[in-house]
Amino acid sequence: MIRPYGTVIFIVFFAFSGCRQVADFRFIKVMGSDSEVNLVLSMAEKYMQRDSLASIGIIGGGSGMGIASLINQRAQLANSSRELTEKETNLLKEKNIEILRLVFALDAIAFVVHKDHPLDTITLSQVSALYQGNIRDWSEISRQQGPVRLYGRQSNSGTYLYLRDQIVKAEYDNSLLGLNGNAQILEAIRQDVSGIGYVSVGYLEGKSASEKQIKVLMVKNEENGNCYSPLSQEDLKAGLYPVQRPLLQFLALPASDLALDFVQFELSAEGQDMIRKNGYLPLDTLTHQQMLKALTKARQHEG
Amino acid sequence: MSQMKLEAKGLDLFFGAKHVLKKVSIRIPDKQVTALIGPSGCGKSTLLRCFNRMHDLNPMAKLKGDVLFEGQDIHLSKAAELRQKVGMVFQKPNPFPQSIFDNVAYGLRLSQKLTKSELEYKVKAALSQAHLIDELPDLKASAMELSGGQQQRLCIARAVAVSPSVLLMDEPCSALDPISTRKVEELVLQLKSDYCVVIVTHNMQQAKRVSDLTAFMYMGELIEFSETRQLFDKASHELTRNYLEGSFG
Amino acid sequence: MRDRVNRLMALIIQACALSSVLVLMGIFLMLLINGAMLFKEVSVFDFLTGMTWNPGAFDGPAYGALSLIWSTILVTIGAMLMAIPLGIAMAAFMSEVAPRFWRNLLKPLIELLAGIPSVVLGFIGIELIGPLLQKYLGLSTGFNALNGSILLCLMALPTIISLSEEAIRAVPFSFKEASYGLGAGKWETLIKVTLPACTSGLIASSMLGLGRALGETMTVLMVTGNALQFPHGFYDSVRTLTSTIAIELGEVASGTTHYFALFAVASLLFCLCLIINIAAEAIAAKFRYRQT
Ligand SMILES: Nc1ncnc2c1ncn2[C@@H]1O[C@H](COP(=O)(O)OP(=O)(O)OP(=O)(O)O)[C@@H](O)[C@H]1O
Ligand SMILES: [Mg+2]
Repeated sequence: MIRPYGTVIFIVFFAFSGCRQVADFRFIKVMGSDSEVNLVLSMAEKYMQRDSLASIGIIGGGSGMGIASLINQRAQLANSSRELTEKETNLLKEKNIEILRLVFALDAIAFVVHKDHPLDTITLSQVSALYQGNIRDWSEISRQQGPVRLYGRQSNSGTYLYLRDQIVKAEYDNSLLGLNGNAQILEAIRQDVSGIGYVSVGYLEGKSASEKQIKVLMVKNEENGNCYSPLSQEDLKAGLYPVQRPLLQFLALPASDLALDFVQFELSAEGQDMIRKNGYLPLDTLTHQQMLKALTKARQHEG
Repeated sequence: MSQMKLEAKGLDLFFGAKHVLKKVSIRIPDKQVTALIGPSGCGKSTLLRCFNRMHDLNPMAKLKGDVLFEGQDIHLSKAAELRQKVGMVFQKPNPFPQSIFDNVAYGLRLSQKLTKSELEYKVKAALSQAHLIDELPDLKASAMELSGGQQQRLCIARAVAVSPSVLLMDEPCSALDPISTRKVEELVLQLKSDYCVVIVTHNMQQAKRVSDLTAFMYMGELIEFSETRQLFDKASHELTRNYLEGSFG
Repeated sequence: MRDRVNRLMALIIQACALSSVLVLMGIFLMLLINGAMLFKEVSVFDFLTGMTWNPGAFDGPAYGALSLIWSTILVTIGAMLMAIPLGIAMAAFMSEVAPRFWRNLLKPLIELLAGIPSVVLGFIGIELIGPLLQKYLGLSTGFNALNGSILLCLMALPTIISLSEEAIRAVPFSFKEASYGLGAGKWETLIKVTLPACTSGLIASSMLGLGRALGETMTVLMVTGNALQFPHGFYDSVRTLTSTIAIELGEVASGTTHYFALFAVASLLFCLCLIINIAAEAIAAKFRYRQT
């Protein structure tokens, strides 16, 4: 659902850019992760309210798509929910494209089930076993009977790879349904008592879970027996919720003023506030400092 | 007064606002050939089609007056039942794009439950009645591959296969060469011993050769109806004489 | 002078015809050559019979296209089983049976159906058809081959209906007249004369509908769940050839094995369409009677 939406937005901006060929009219294209697209879009909208001559096109399509378009020089900024792969790094080097790795927020991945599901907490080894297909019936870990239905993302999504490589640590079971986006997974879980899915916490923001007929699972730390919720800002901030990762952006260098200004805005107090409101975690002070420094360097790179 | 096979009483027919048949009354006897003649557009086909309710297919057609089949108003029985008894052969040969056998069997399969051998027997009987059986070695061949004359005789076989009691023929020879025409005419003469045949024709010689009675129509009216010889030799009506002279020209 | 203009025109038309053939050949060659590169690393046999397709797998890539092929066939057959009878019945109803009122109502509705963007249909599949299937068939999820088939059926229907209607209308009135004249009713005439008389047209329209179904990506992608498993029936999730290309092409770097594998998949799709077209042509020819 997100990809066509993004395309439409892009086309609208593009049409505008076509008819307003003013010298100081500026345009950048941002492509990539579907989990980041809503957040970056809302920040871009806020930014464009300030700077009426700026135009920022945001397109989803998955992290892989974003990085690929950076390599092909079809976008200036790539949203990515994962690090570069070795292959991608090599390709960038081959094409002589220098990039800046930016962390602008932190994301947590929540596991969701239908609201009538008896399960409230889950351990990471259970998640791994479920998604590998080692647990096929809910009765093995809960009071519910019946087969498990696995919901996930398509293979071009950063979340798909992050979860597989960091949490499941094995190939997914091949019955995993590859849906188009976070919203679709929520929608599917809402209708399927036997399902389990994973989504960015950003997608849980604003709608109370019960209203969506879903239940967000707490993740249990197997060592200390404590449970942590992805909905609790404290747990997230303290780094206690175990399925967290940085939200990344890769900026092609030398970067245009608009691209630099936009990233600056993301790191500003206002930008970080929007990140919090969207259900993600703002940066801690140390990372924040590092990013600002890197950005200043990038400006000089240009000059 | 013996009962007539077909009868029209004060028949008016309109296509929309166009008045095509005007107060036509005609009594057609059984086991005779009746020819309908008249200039083009005078309503011969239209009258013929009244007898088996073909105008039902045209929502524009409005009919007033009575049409009787064996003394019964034809609109009182079902059209399909009527058409099984009052068969029709059209001006242009129109076999179905199916095999020869299926063409002839079509009507039989609709109306009767027959075993395979009964069906085969009846189909062959109809084809031999139409003098076609010797010309067609393979009944599974497509009917569209026959010559025009063969197609027309196939259509006649198809019509007689269901053993109707009336056969309506609308210029059945207009698309045929003289030899095929002769064959169809012979067929008509044979059929008359079992059927009541009504034939529309533009060929005066043909009317003379095959028909016992002839009706002359003009501008939607029935001008004159009598024995063929009488009509051709001493027509009582001025219009008829003019038409016959003109056409012999 | 006039002769020269004529010759020039003929030349221009020939050039146009030739260039479209060249473009087509070019596309086919590009697919084939790029696709063939895959077979330096994966054997043709493994590609065609391997049950697992997972180029980015955790433990090494797998390029078995059999489940993709079977998925495509499954979804398409399902769609055609629904769309062909439904489409022809609708066409026959509209052209032969329905009173004018119904025809005037249905025709624009069907044109409207043709105008629905495939993404919107996909949305309907997720929000409406999926839950309905879940509820009435007792399935745990609506993301399966059946849902895809239903949507493809909806997409193929306008094509099949309007082309079939044209074919039915083209049947000469004299055939129907002959049938009525022998005492047949409306339905008998329709089933025994009119429809058989336009079989080749009906087959052609069905095949064009099928073509649309085979090539359709977005809708199928949205509702079939795209699981990598080998599907065993209409209630299983499937991942078709088109979906695979759409999902993976965006992230693949050119010149890699994965890249060539996608071209091989595209060639496969192309061949599948070709086979269907040839088969359709053969079937249609068998039914076509020479008209005098
Ligand atoms: N379906 C129709 N709708 C409207 N008018 C019609 C229709 N069929 C025939 N007519 C008109 O009715 C009149 C009589 O037509 P009909 O076909 O009965 O003439 P005909 O005597 O058979 O002529 P022909 O010898 O040329 O066949 C003609 O003026 C014709 O234009
Ligand atoms: Mg006539």
